[in-house]
Amino acid sequence: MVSGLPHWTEKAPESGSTTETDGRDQRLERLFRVKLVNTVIAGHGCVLEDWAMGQYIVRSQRGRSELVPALPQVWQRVEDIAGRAVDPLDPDLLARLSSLRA
Amino acid sequence: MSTRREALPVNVLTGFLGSGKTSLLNRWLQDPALAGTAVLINEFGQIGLDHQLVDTLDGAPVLLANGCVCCAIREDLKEAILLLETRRLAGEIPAYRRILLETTGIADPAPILATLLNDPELRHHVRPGLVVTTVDAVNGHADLMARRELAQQVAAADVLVLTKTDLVPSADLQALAAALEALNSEADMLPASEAEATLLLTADSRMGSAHSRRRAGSASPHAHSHGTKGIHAHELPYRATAFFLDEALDWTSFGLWLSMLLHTHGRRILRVKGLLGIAGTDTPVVINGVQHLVHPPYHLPAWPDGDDRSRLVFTTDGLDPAVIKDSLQVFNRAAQRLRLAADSSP
Repeated sequence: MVSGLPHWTEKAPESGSTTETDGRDQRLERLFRVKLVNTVIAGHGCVLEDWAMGQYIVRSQRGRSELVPALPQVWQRVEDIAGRAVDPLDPDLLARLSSLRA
Repeated sequence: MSTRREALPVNVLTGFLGSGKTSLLNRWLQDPALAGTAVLINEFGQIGLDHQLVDTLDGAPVLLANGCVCCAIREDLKEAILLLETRRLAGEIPAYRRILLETTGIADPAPILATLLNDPELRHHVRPGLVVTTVDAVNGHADLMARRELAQQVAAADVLVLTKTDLVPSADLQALAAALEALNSEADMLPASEAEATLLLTADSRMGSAHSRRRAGSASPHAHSHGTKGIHAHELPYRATAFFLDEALDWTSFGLWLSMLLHTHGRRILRVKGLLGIAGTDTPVVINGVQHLVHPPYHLPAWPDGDDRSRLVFTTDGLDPAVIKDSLQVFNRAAQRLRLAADSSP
C-alpha cells in the first residue's frame, strides 16, 4: 500500500469483466512475487519476505530488517543495502536469470 | 463530502513558455461545448490576469498559488480541487463534469498526474483526463533541443497542438512534426486551428478516454520519421522506439520488471505506453506511464487491430530498445520457469 492505495504492481489490471482474481489467487501471486524478487536480488545482500499480505520485509544479511509497502520501496532498500543499483538491464543479471532451470 | 459520484477527469493543458496555451484556453472557453468545466489556472504567467474569461465559465476561478504546479505546490493542486468540490457541494458554484488545469510553461506533467492518481483523498473525486501540450512552431525547434521541460510535456501528451503554424515554412513544420513524433508517436498531432474544445470531451468516459484507448491500440513499432530541414529527429536527446513481443507476458513478472526499470532508469524514460497480452487472459492490458508514474493498467474489451502481440513504446534518452526488450523477455521466461519449477515440486 502506498498512501493507503495499492501500488499498481500489487493487483490485476482493472477489468470490465467479472474475471477478477479472487483472494486466494492474490495471495499466491504475492508469494510468487516475493520468490521472483528474491531470485532477481540474489547477491545483493538481502532477502525479501512477505509481511501479513500487506507489506514486505527487506532483511539484510547483517540482520537489519525494514518494512516497505511496495516494489518501488523494495528496489530502493535493496539498492541501499547493496550499495549499487538493481538494474534490470544489467547483462550479468540477465545472464543469471537466463540460466535458471525449471 | 458524502455525495458519491464518478471521479471526474482533470484535463491538463500544458506547453512551454509562449507556446500559445493562453490563446488556446481563451478560445476553448468561448465554446459552449465546454459548459460544465471548472478551470484551474496558475497565477504565474498572463492567464492569471484573465479572470473575466474564466469567470464566464464557472463564475469562480480557483487560482493556484504562484510558482510551478509540479514541484512547488502539488499540495495546492490538491487543495484547489478539494476546494472546488467543497464549493460545489455548498452550492456556491454550479455542478461541473470535468476540470481543466492550465499549467505553467515550465511544469512537468508527471507530478501533476501522480498527485491526481496517488492522493487517497483526491482519487475519490478526480482522475487524470487528457494531457494537451501546445508546441510553438516557431520556437519549438530550439526549445525541444534545449529544454527538458518541453520534452517531458511532449512525451506526456495525449494531444499535441501546434501553434503559430502560419509563421513557418511548411518544410520546417514537417520537420518539427517529425521531431515530435520521434518523441511521442502515440499522441494525436494537429494545428491549433483544428484543436477544438470538444476534444476534451473524449476524456469524460471512465477507464481512460476513448482517445487514449484508440491511441494505445495504434502503438506502432515503426515510430520513426525523417525531417526535411530545421530540426531532425535523430538530433533529439529523446526518441520513441517500439517493439512487439510474440509471447504472452506474466503479469506479476511484468510489474516487477517495469517497476524495477523505472526505479533505476526512470529519469531516462519519459514515457512508456503499450498493449500487453497477459498469460491467462484474452483481452489486452493498456500500460501508460509517464516517467516514474504508471497509470492503473486496465483491460480493453478486445485487441483493436486483430493482432494480439504485445507492443510497447518507450521514449528514452538513448536507452537501447533492443536491450529493454531482451530484458523483458528474460524476466518473463525466468518467471515461467519458476512457475514450472513450483508446479513440479512435490
